[in-house]
Amino acid sequence: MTRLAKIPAGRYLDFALFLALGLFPLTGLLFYTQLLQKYLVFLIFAYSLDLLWGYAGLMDLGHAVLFGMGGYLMALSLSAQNGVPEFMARYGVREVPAWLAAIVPLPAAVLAGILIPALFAGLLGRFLFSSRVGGVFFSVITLALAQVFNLFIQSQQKYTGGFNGIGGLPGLALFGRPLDLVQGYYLVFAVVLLVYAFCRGLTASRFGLVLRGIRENGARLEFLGYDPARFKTAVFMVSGALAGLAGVLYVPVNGMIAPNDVGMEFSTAAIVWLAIGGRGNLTGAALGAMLVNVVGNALSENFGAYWQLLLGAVLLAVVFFAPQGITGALARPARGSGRPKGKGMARRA
Amino acid sequence: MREILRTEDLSACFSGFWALDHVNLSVGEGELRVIIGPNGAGKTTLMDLITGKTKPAGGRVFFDGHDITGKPPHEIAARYGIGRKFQGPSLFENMSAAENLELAAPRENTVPRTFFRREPVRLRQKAGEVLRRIGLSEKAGNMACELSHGERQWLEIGMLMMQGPKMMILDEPTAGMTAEETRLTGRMIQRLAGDRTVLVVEHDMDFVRQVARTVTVLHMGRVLAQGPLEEIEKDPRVVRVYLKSDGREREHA
Repeated sequence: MTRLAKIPAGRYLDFALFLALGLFPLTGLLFYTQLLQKYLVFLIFAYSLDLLWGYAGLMDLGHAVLFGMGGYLMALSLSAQNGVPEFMARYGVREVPAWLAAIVPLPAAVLAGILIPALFAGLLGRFLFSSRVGGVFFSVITLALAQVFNLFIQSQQKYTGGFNGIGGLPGLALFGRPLDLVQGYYLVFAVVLLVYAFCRGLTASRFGLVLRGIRENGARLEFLGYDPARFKTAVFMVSGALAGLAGVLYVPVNGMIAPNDVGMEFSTAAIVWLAIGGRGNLTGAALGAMLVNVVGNALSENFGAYWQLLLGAVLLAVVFFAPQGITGALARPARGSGRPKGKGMARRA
Repeated sequence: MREILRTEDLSACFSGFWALDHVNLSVGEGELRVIIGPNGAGKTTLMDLITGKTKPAGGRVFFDGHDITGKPPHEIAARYGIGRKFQGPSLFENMSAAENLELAAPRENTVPRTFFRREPVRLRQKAGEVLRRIGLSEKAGNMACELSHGERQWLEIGMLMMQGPKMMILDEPTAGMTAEETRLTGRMIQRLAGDRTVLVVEHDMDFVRQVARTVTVLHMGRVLAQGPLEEIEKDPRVVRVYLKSDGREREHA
């Protein structure tokens, strides 16, 4: 999969995908444009997870927690634009609390929605990685965290709208002027392109090389003078910021946010996108996110919830026949079994 | 010769078993020291304690005038300049040979020095030069997992060349090599010594004869003997615990 990053094929796929996404609104299919706008937001989330899982090998099973932090901060800000939100008033809140007042200005909400998940990831990462928590333990802890965060959101009805979430929110606006669907679509598209360029730049830098080193053999890196805990914390923060940004954009695009968007369900969905698309090259993350959502949507129109059965079958097939996902299979066509790949001394020690 | 490495009563204990028992070792700057001993003598444990992989149960390690006992591996590598080649070897499997070498470059190894930083050009050139020295120029783009066993050993030696530490620790660098590969590796290591201190753990006596000047023999966690190779080979204690059994093992193999 790292080979794909070297040959231009991956870049052509990226380019083709962006071209298709950039031209789609010209078809005038407004319903699907709106749907794709949501999937564009998912692309940012997929890139964010790929930095963490695909490059650094840290499988975050609760990545939607970071997404949800950004999303809920944005939703709270949007709902409090005209004083105390209705769902809070129902619980007898008369005045906008000070912490909420601080994020009522939208730029403050956007900033908080990016920085707070990053900070949270930084603290969690510092705690986990300096105590040498890694591998499957990292996954289990983040999975538990997703469940805890979901319960937390549901239990704080007064401030989060509880099970129903926060809805009826205004759409995207720029400098106080509401945008129509196509304008909003291109705004999100522009952010996606920026995030893509950011991720490409970061992974092509020496930092990206070190992240892959951590994935391949983190223990060996220590003897070359690297402190892997610091790199892991750093990439977790970057990934958290991008996941938060995705959450911030998701709320005005979707019009609402609910506990389902921030717990295990959405976290697992993103894992499936990357498992199918391929990891560690950004192309696979985008491809997987788009394919699963677009095909899933088309199938659910005809088969209702049964399409998830098919998704399960496809996922099993991918895990068995193309464990590195679509891009992994493309990068190494018919690769022989080769020598077994040990994980270096980490496993022997 | 100035002393660069000294261990004082260095001991390691694994749930009641003393893998190392008050080992006192002194290595001079620029020396090529070979450590031999039967399996389970504590050779690899000694390397683990020096490089910070394992914390000692007692005793101290001094390197270049600093007490490095119990420091984390990345600090021992980056700050004090000790590099290590693992028994095995231990590589970044799904990364190319060139990338393995680039990762080993010193100094560019903190978050601020790598974040959105391009690979310095001189670093790539140096990686190319090292690839030539270890005979892998043709395979620069091959994944580490696609290389043959001997090539993998050389790649890890190349990583040490990139790292350029003050002292290199080589744990069984010729394990699994053909006689010809072993000879080439011996030449490589001899060239590396001289401008830096090299500590080699080896079983292959032909290799030891090729490179060794001073040999330390470990047995059951203690230093059994130390001295020039000719004396060691005649030392009856060494012959009894090591050289004889080594011969037997080879007949069986």
